Amino acid sequence: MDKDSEITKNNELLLRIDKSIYEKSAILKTCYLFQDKFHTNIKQLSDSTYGIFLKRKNDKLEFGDLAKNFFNELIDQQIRLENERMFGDLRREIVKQAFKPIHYNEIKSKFEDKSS
Amino acid sequence: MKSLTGEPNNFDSVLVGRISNKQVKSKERKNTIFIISNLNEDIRGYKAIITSVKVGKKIPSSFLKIPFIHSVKDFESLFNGDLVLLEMHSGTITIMFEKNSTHNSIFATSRCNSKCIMCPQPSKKDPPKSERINLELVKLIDKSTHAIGITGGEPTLGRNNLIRLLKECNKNMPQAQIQLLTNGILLKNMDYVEEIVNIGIDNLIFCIPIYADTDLEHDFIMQRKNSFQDTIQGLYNLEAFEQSIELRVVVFSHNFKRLPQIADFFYHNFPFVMHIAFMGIELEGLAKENRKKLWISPLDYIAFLEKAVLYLSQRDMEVSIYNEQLCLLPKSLWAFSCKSISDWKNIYIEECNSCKMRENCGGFFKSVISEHRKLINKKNCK
Amino acid sequence: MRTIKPYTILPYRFMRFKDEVLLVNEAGDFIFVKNTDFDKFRKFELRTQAETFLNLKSKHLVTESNLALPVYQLATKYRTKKSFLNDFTALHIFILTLRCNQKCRYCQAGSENETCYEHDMDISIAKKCVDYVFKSPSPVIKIEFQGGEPLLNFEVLKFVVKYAKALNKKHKKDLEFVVCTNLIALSDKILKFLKKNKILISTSLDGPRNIHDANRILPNGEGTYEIVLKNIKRAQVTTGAQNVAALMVTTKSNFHNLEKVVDEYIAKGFDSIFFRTLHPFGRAARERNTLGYDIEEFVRNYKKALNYIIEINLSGKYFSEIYATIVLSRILTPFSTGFVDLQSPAGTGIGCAVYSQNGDVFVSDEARMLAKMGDLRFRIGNVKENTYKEIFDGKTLREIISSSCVETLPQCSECAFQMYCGADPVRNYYAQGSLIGHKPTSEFHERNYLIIKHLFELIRQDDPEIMNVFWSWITNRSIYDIKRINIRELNEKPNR
Repeated sequence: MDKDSEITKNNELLLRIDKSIYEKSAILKTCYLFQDKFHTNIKQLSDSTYGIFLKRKNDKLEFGDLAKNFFNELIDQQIRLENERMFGDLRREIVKQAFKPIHYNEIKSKFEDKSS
Repeated sequence: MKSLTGEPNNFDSVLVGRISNKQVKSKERKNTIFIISNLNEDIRGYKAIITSVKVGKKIPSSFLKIPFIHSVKDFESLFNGDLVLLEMHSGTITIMFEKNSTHNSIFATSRCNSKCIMCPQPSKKDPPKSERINLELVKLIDKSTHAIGITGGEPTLGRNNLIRLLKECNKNMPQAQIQLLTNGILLKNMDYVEEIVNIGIDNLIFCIPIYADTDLEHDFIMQRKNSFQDTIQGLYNLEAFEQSIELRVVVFSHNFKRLPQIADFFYHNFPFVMHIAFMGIELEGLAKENRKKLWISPLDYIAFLEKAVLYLSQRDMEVSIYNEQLCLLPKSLWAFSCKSISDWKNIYIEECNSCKMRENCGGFFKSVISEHRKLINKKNCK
Repeated sequence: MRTIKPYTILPYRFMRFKDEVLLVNEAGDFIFVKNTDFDKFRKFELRTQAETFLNLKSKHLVTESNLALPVYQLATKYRTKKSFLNDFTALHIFILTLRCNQKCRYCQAGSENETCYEHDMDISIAKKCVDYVFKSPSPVIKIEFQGGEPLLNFEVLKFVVKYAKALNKKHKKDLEFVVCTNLIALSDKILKFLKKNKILISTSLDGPRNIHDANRILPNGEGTYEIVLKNIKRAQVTTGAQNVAALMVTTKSNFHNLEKVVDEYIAKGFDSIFFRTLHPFGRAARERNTLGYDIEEFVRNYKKALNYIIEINLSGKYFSEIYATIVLSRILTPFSTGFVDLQSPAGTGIGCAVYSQNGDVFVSDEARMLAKMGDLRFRIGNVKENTYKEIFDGKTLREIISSSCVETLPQCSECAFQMYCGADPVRNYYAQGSLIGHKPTSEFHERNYLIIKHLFELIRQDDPEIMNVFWSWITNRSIYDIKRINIRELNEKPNR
């Protein structure tokens, strides 16, 4: 079995992501977040696995807990995707209601009555 | 309301009038109820007479044409300027409006559309002609009155009655503050709110109870489904018309643990209200029957109450505590305590006689005396 | 067999804080829950009688049978939060002149030689600008005089004030004036005019003498501390201390000593400070090496200074930090806070407009700086050439605004801080090449994110004393008022 993370010959951190658990969108969003300190590259390693290559922008930076942090964030991004499917419509409904004029028809008809 | 009894004469009616213990000008007499302690007084033109004296079989001739109630005990509790309701068939004298009190209320109706589990004034049918009586009462109220409450039952039931009553109040006491105690449920209809607002009362406050920060809990306490939703809709409608609102929370066993969350809920959802009042429970009516289930000792809820009150005060919301004795409140809450119990319900116990703060303290409801006495004895009276 | 969910989860955003999770609902109400409770909540395993569940319900994060009510309440609260949008442009900045009598090392405003009068706004343009100001539907109008040094064009300042007040007789708006000045040219005549017309003064004080004079210098290199302080005093005495405010710019010269800057502000009679960061424009960009710092360092120092200020408040003296106060208001209150530099959609144009000395209208001062450097991307029009509608309802402004809604920006769209934060498309464009920018490497993002996170850490600790300080800032009351230490008279209230 492949390890989930390893340091490559090019001094990049390689993370193996199971395609069946994480959607591409979640993976891309997670990569985006880490672009403050790392260059990111994604390759398909096999039918079931994506490989994320993280290259340090600054050589003095340590990899440290990067793998752990990346996977944690990936889980949260996946949760967010599923949340969007669950209540995205409700969210839009709330904003729509927020900007809907209140009792517009009643106000409108009152205004029209007064002007006639 | 306080009431007295006596022996009525044969007139069969219900009357409203203003008490006077001395003679008044003839044009005022038709609305005045003269209270006398000797039967030789000139009683011509008065609406009715009340006397402590016993009138025997021989009725003085002047008394034949005028409604009167005799042999009245507690004669001394009738003050000049009080407004009373005389029920001639039973000889009951009910003091509807006390001249010397700042806590007078008009009962718009006894009916209610909810059945709160701690209701001190459970719903019942209205006596006949109650609307006419209320309107007469309002006409007699002193124009210089500072404040009057409109309560019930649920005043918003009988929409036309309420509108008429409010219009009459506005006409006769344009400077008074009118406090409308309502559960706000029927105010979910925007046009009802609009109709009230259009009366044009300068100083009108809607006093609305909310007992919980979540729907099922509030609905259970109200014993009415969707009351939480309806009341909130009513609140937003009132706010749309920029009306003054006071939220009231009765503190008892069902909600005391969530007082801080209730305060938080009010702040985030109704930041526009003018005032928030936390009230001790009155163990009358339904509350009396269920006292074991409803009663929670102030010693147990004080910590939650303190958190809730200070939370709101921190956020610059106006907040008060009604119906709570100063000796049971921590000093941090003294500034929020209000003398608020209607005078007819309010007493002090003997231990209070030595208390320095008695003047400033709200005292007790009669109905909670026994519970409170146990607590007061445990603490040091200051 | 289908399982029916025991409750409905309402829209939320989340962020992890050690052993807890911050949940924020669609209207910006928040709650911290334990990690274990968060997992149960997500998986529909919370017991509906549990206290946590009731707390989430109260915060409109879950609901049982009633969906209509929480949606209605959330919509109402959302509308309240965004009500800063209702009134359109309230802040109108007049660049009276590009001339300046100082030559600050970090200047981004543009400071031409004092004698180059062609850089002044003339009366005909000023008049047209005021006409356009009053076309704004906002019932509150704030006219802010900037420059260069606005007092150098005092004649036009006077004209604008008089003409605006005359127009306002018809419009009856809540009209306010501010002059952003270094106070060097504060003659008695000018001071008298400012007092008579109730014009607020906003000046710059970077710290005690050695800090202030490190960067805020005259063209000949001399410091300005002495004269600035003398004139601050004169202004405070004449117009009242509450009408004189000071701002500072954080540079390498002072960011290790922010506490000393606070001490200086208190000593000189100010009751608030704003730790503004350097913007990479103008001279500041050229002097980056000597003046600049990285954001993480800045935030470390900011946190220290904030602690220091909190301690000062706890000892009884009211003193607030403005940025923290604004963010705390957004987090802790249900109200809308208008702050054009950090809002969504951005305040560019729709909250604030800049009228430069030649009549060009820009969405922000940075937009004007870009124009000076040759890029007219953010010029939305000119008062001599375009109608009000062309300027404020034109394609340029709409494009800028639609790129500034955090609800739709990458990384922002999922962020738990969304309701408390904002976007700066002009800054993104300048620093990173596009209106949307690249969030992970954005200094604007980093600064706001780190400070908001720090404030949430403090809120999470729930120290009652610190919370009292925060509320004293938000409600603008002293700690004693917050704690009700003076027990108010226990009189019977007339309304009860």
